[in-house]
Amino acid sequence: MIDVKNRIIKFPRRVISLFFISSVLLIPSCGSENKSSNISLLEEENEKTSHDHAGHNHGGHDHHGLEDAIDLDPITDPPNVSFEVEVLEGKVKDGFSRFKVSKGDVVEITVFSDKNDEVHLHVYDNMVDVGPGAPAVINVKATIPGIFEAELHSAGFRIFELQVS
Amino acid sequence: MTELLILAHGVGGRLDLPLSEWQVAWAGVVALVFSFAALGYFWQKPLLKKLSIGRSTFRIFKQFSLFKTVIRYISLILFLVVVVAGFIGQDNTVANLAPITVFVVFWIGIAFASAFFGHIWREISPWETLGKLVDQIRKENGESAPKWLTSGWAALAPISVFHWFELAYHDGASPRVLGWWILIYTIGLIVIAWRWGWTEARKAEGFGVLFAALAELSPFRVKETEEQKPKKMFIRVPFSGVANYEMTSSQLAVVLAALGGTAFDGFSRTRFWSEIIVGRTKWELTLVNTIGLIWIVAVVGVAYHLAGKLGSRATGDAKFSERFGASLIPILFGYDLAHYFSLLLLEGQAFKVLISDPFGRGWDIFGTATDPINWTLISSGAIGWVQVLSIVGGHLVGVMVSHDKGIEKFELKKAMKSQYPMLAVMVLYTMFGLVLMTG
Repeated sequence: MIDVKNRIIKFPRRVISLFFISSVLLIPSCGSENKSSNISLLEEENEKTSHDHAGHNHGGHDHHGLEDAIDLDPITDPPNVSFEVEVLEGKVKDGFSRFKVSKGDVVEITVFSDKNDEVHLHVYDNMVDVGPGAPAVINVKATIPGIFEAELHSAGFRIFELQVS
Repeated sequence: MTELLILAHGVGGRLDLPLSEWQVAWAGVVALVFSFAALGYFWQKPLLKKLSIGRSTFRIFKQFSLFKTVIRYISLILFLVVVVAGFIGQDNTVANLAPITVFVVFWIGIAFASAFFGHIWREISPWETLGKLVDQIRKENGESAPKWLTSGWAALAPISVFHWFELAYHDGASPRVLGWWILIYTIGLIVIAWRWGWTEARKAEGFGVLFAALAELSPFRVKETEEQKPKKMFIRVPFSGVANYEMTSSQLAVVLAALGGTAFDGFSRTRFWSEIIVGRTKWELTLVNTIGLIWIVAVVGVAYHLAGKLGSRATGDAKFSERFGASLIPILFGYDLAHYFSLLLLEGQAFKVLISDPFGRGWDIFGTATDPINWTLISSGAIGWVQVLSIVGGHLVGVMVSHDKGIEKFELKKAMKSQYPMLAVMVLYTMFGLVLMTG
């Protein structure tokens, strides 16, 4: 009985230390890679910012029971973060992005599209028309933390995510 | 119709923030260390079965059954309202009562409530009420039920179909689709109950099977006694009840399917999957998501199957997979809590708004039709901690249950051997779950 116990106890100690080291090394390294790329993406996006105020926001309150419940303050501050998304032939140019902002930021997202559609940012519930030559400009004050999906309404696919943290 | 059709997890356009790397790394370390500690440092005599008996607290008073009846009828009325809302309410996912009730109140709310309070679905399920009604009307025909029903495998169908609608089908959260779905499922159950009786038909009610498995985690236990005597309520260590849960293969499959579905829900929110589905719409999107769903469920299922095979070989126990299946229930609950806790708390508020105007006619029955949703009810930091703790907590309990089941069945040396494949598969699930949480 004692013999068995010893064997059982000895074996895992080695394994524990091995796994300890490997997991401490592995898990954070996977993550940090991800993070740095996101930061560079963010900076890139910041650089190619344009403050084009074509188009305007209007809440899509006609048929959204829930959205009526959300009162968003009118945004008066100038945006301090801005991003651009371009949709061409049913694809998001340069791939799908998650735009990261901090809570409290005033965000402006400009969406270009080669087709007439409506951009919908969930929960914040901005509904903005978009069309060729008439980009949609979404202005939000990032007050609710989380990740929020934005989609082209008629086309029915996601075009970006907004991450507020 | 095209409204909001690309939402994963049925409803809601808000996702939780990814966990920070240090949280995930530490969670992983804790899970691993604990897993290996289980091999050498845990108790060496079965413990949980004794704990699961619990302490007798009070007799369940007579009025309690009246209370249950009232709740059962409220549940049946709500069920009918939801089906009708699915058909005649606004054809818009967020403005209709049906999607929020099905995906949040039912699927998540009842799952959590079962884990906390025990076998409540058995008491309030509208299908249970309807099924018993059918039992009263029908004439006993003495026909024995077919094998696909008695074996319990039929329960896998509703769970799989539900996951497909929730996570793969591009129009799965549409009120009309849900209305039809509930109607067809209900008619199906009634037909089966008519033919073979509700006791048999219940085996095809997959949600009941799943919620009953989760209910084993509850700290409350009602002692079943003869009809006339008052029942007794026992309070026991939370999660200890699964020690008594002897699973059949089909119940194991239901739990694995639920685990796989939840894993795909997390997986579908990662950047990796976002990039795969971007620009895809309609049936193309459905196809890609279906492949993803089947793939992840298969990974989860095959991983467990392999662990079961290895365990069988190591211990010579042919029923190895089923014996240790109960240790997956806390892991499933941990996954569920991590993925859906914020959905229930935040999006769930929409239920109280929509129930006031269930058919979209401008009513305000409970005076809550214009209540705002408080999206900052809980901070994102708190959500993150609940996620980490539930994934790791589910893992820890799973390890303990598996350990206890091992020493209950085998002598110590063999019991430890039986734990290697189980620990491997549980660590795999937990690490996968944690990685998904990093977004």
